[in-house]
Amino acid sequence: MSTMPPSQQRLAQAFVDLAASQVTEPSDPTGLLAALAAHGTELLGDCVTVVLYAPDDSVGPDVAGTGKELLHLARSAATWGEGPGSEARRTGVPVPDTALDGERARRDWPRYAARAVELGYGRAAALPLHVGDDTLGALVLLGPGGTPLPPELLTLGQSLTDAAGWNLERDRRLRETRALADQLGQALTSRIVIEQAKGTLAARHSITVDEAFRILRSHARSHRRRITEVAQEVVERRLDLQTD
Amino acid sequence: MATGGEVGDLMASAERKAAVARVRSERESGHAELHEFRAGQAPTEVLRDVHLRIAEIHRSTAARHLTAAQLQDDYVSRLRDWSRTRNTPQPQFMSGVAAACGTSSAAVTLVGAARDQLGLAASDEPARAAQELEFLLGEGPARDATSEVRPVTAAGPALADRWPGYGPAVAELGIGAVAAVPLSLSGTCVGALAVFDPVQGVTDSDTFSEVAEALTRSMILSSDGDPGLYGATDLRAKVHQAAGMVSVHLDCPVTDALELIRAHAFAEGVLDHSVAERILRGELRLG
Repeated sequence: MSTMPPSQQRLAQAFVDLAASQVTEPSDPTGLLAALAAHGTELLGDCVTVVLYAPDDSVGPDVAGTGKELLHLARSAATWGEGPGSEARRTGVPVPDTALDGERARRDWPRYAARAVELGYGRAAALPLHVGDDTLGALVLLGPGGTPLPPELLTLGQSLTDAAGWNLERDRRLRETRALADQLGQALTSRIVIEQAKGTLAARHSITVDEAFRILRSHARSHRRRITEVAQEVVERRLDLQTD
Repeated sequence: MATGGEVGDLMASAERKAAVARVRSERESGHAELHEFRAGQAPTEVLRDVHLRIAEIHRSTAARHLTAAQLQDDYVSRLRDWSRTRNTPQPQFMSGVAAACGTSSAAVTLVGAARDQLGLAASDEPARAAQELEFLLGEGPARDATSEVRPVTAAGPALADRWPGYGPAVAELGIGAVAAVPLSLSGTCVGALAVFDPVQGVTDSDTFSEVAEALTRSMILSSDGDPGLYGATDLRAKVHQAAGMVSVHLDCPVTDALELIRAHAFAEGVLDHSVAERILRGELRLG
């Protein structure tokens, strides 16, 4: 393979795009995966790249790239658990350059290798997509064959994949942090509302705040409701609780 | 006063958190090493820079987890020392936080989605009094740090310039300098850490914000943390109970009742807590 290495500027642009762009839909990183596949195909010489993203075994894998047949193959490969992408995703380590008509490919990926050769590809490799401590997918490189895929290409491919993984990890942390902050706010707010409801009931029925709490709690229990909800209604005067 | 069992539980919990923080720190260091290795192998400058940037962020996160582990270690050793004699008040986690920031007076304020103050924890009386003032007057360093999501510092005459009500009031407590940093992680801000009269230079250095980040990561916004700071977080239970009472007496929303209690405390020059207690005992009726 004798392609010009991409310019520094073009590379920098790709990294900014992959590492810094916002994941628009939290649960659906399709845009980022497509960007990774597109940058890979453009920057990695003669290779075509396909992204496999399978964060969870319970839901079907996502694939991104161009070409209907190639995407179909990538989807089938994930279902079969075959091919370099599935392997890198499973093991967390790169699958080195492999000849698709060689013994190893025919033995380990019988259906995948045959189909890829039919589509005109000769060599394949895959780089794991790490998100934090997990491997959630892989970048698959498919080359025309003849000569092996050069190591520099795999190094660059891994860096592009790392940048996308970094972005996904940051997004995951962002959402986790937000959820924890919401939980904290709700927990503190409910405790405050309960105190306010104790005071409200105490004043309304001329009882102590301890008695007010007992009434609040027994009402919530006997009506199988959350004490915070009951407290909120008491504070807003939508509910009055009778003393015995 | 806590029994031996309770202190033992606190120590065990802090030791657990220290161990978790160390594991996290090592994991982050591992990620950093991987990227440093990749930077070394990178054939081009752009690639090297990308990996070095990522490595740097992992290194900094590793350091924050280590700071968090040290805060827990410090708490454990204070509790252990104390449990031998028990002739002083039981050490609070916040005292160690304050010490790490080069002061004895530090306070954590937790705010809700509307930036309303929900809880606070203070290392000592001056810190508590200063936080109370901020709550009463509705202005001050913790409030600014959370609303602007950036560090705030003021000392001497600048206190009154910046906060016309809070400044002179806090100076009257004998406090000459205040500083606050937001407690935020991944762009989510849940409060502020404030320090009072820190030793010179601490709030200009990174230490202060590092302690705040460690506190946020390990205690406040962590699935295995303890936002109550080992039982030290005060939700002003009595003030809220009193507000519930006042809302019935005056037939007004509870938020208005809270404001009235606050205004009354300010006018009398006392803490809202003491106003609340008088209301709860039936000695005071607002309106």
